[in-house]
Amino acid sequence: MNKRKIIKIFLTIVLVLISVIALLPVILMLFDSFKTGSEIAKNSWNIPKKWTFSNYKALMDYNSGIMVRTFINSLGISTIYTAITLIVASLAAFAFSKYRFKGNKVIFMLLLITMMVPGEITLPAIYLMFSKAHMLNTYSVQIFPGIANVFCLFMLKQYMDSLPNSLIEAARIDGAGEFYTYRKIIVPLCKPTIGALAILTFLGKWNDYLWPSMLLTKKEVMPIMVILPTLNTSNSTYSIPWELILTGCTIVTVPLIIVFLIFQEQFMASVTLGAVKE
Amino acid sequence: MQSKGNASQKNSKNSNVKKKLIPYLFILPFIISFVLFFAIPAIYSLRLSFLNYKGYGQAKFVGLGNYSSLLEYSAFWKAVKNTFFYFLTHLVPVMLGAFLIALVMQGKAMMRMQKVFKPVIFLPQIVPVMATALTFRIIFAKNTGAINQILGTNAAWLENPATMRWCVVLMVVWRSIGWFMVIFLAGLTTISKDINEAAIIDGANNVQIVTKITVPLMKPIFLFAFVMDAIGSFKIYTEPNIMIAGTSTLTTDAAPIMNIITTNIRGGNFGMASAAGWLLFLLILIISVMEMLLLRDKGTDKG
Repeated sequence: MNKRKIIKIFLTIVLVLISVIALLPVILMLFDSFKTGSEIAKNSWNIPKKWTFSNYKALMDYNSGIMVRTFINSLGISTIYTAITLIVASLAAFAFSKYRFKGNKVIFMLLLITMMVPGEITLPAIYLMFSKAHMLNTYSVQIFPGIANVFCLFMLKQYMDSLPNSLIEAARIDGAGEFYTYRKIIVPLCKPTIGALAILTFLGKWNDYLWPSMLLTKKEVMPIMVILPTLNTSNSTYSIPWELILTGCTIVTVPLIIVFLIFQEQFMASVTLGAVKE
Repeated sequence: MQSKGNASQKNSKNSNVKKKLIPYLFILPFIISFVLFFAIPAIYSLRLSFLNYKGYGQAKFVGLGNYSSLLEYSAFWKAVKNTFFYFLTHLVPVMLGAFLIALVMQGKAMMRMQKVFKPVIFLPQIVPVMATALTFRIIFAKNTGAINQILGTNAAWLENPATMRWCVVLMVVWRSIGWFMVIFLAGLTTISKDINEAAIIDGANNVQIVTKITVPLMKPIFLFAFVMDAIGSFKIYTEPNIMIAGTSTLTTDAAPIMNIITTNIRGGNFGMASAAGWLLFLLILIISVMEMLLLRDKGTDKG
């Protein structure tokens, strides 16, 4: 065997090992969701001896269906939040990119500077403001804070800057209205960037725990991520029903993995937004 | 058009005003939501940080009182220490690991395998933080946890102050390597193959190519990665809280700075919570600027 081949085999083994480490916790989560609590305590790593769907059933019935309710909450909140964020940001990006108007550059620069300030700083103020408006424990408090996303605005403007102005002039000559130009010409051309930003925004909201755990006390409006760590039952083998928690983890993870497998390229492209100039 | 009378002139004046208004209409929704849900809350929290305010009744101006009591408060310094611990310990394994994996995958030998390995190593990033933290909580659980099952021990990894923070770091490393690997891979593909080939002709070996050519050319990408990572790491919250404490209160031995903010909100000390937030911002700012100074392009320093 020549040196090249040995190196290749060695590197392949290293990458396989890393891949196994990357997959193991996910596989454990998946397998254990089909085991009973006592089997997990004895045997976390193996394939389930007897596949049981009882955890999934127990989770559906848990606390009169709160898991189903909160899963739908999460889905709805993340979708609406992502849609509004991108509509608002793309409208503004269109103006900043394709129009000359008084204050154009100054306003944009001011917005960019605020990107340095983490949103978490506003948490005490948001809590007080929404509490005084009696709007804690609503969907609004989960959707509106953070809705003006400067990162999305910046990325979309950058992309629109690369689109030739002649496109818009041509549309104007054809008598297209300004909103029509935005809707029918600019937005379709921005699809790759909008898609990548949608993935990032949706995942960010879907994952969020800090904000909803601070702003909500009513279970019916909570996202599933806040309910997940609180699961407990009196008839479980242990004080904490690991089997239920791992089943819940599987439920919030598997849909994402399926979407990820379909849109791999888009997911990984969303990570590099802003990192590399195309 | 034949009749260019007064009427149409007025019309064009009107449409001129309208034209000037259009861009403002387009930015209006963004500006309104920015002012309402970011600018006003940010200014309000800055003001709160100088007040003693319980959320009801009279607010009392205390000047820098909140800041000075935070700085005299041992739990705050413990939180700063823990945050730095999480930041510093994960930094080298994540960045070096991700860069080495990216290098290997970009190499000639592995190019074709990239399609398989890249999504697999990226996968941990797709698992929600909450699901990851809970799964790792179970993996490291005392007595019958998955790690104890393998080792045949019944150690209390997450209860022992000597090991609990390391468990969090392990999870963070597991979760973030894929993310930075993808960023570094994107950076590596922008480096022209000609440069590498020219270096090989000049007799450079692989190590020389990486240290003398790849690393310097990747500096902007490293800067981006380090700053993004710092911004995220200093706001760490869900990982230690869920993994170590579940839903109970996290011990100060492992609590990050975000916990100072949340416990003060829960306790109704909105001034203190805001002050802690602004101190956290200051810290992130200092670290980011330091990283920028360290990694900035020094132009033609080394030719």
